Amino acid sequence: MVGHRFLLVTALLFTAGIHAGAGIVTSDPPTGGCSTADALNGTCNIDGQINDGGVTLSGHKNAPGSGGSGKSSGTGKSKPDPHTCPPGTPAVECSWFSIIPPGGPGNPAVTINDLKNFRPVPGTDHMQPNGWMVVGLDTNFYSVVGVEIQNGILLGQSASVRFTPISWHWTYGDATAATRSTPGATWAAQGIPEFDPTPTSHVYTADGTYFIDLSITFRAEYKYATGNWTPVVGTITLPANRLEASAGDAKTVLVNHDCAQNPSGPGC
Amino acid sequence: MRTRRKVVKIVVAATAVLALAGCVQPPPRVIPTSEPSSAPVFASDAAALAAAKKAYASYLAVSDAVAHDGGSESERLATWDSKAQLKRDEKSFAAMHADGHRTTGSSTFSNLALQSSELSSGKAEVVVYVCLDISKTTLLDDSGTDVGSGRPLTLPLEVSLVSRQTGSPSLIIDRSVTWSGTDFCS
Repeated sequence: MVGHRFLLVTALLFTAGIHAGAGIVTSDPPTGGCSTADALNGTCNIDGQINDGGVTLSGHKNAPGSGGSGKSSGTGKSKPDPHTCPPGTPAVECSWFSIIPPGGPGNPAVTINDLKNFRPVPGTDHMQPNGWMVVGLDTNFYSVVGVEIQNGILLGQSASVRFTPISWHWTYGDATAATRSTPGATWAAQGIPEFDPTPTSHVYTADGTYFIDLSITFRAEYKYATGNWTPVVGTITLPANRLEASAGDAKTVLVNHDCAQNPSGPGC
Repeated sequence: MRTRRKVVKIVVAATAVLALAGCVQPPPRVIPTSEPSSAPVFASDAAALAAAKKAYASYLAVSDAVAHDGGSESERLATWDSKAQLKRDEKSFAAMHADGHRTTGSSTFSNLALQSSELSSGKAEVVVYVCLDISKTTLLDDSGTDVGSGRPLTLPLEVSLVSRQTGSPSLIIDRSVTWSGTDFCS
């Protein structure tokens, strides 16, 4: 009856290569939420803050189990506890751990350069659609990266270092770039239709092949034995994998058989 | 008459055959080749920053008003919040209401500076640094006792704002988080 069954398929005729990078872990919000209501309630989480010049635990060079000085001093800011601070205590002195100015005698601040034995695993960059984009529509970029804890030797002692991604810088290959405070997510994960704008999407305005680069900035914290996590001064920025993708207009083509029957057909 | 009946039968049969063969297609889905474009709503970073400043000031004023009322009717923030941020604010104010707390005084801010902006389309996205200062507010319990003395009084924040809608030069708060880097409020 019907010699050939023709299917009208909308296909986007692009070729693209995706250079995959190292795989990773789970995603995690970069920092804690702090709206005005939270601030007024005294519930903003400012744990892990890295201050000007850096701060460090007064006991951070002690042997495991030896304890620290337990006394607060200095100008750095640490996590306050509104439930245990005595009334009238300034927030900067109301800390869960003792702090001293960096560079004090016997208490040099740990900086990012001290983490020679530790490096976060680079995140991976992804895009939707995968490997191509439609001129004039949003292309959704997102990264897969998460909080990572590594164990090793820090300044001669066994320590754990925790890396937390805090910033994502995309260069889109079209002479534009953007820094985001979120890793982004798939359209499906965000519950929105494809090609809708996302916090990490980008619109290309011209046909062509583009190379997209992502660099992720991490902050670090360390701890010895069972001590508290202490911020490391400075941040580290690592490149993720490069994406190569082509932009063009959507085209409609007539395809002989569907992809299951003719896997080598256009658009399959 | 007989001929007409025959034609109807042929049409019905043909339709059935086509349907069985999968040839009757649903209405074609129109795939747009370009998004309804709208011109950028901000001509410069300075204009975007000014809009962010206005939006944040308005957001703070409404937040204070809700806090003065013990966290009730927090939906008033809908004017200045994205849906996601409104949900977060409502949760925080619900906690304040449940604790029987309220505030007096006004929140202020300083050092509002641009971190990044995406102004190429009609849907602007602006991220700013801002120091939130609540030192002129007091947190009271239901007996009028000050219970907020342990609060951090200045907070370095990273606040994301977006266009209220595509093409709108008015921004709303989309996200507010503590800045984990250098404390620029000290």
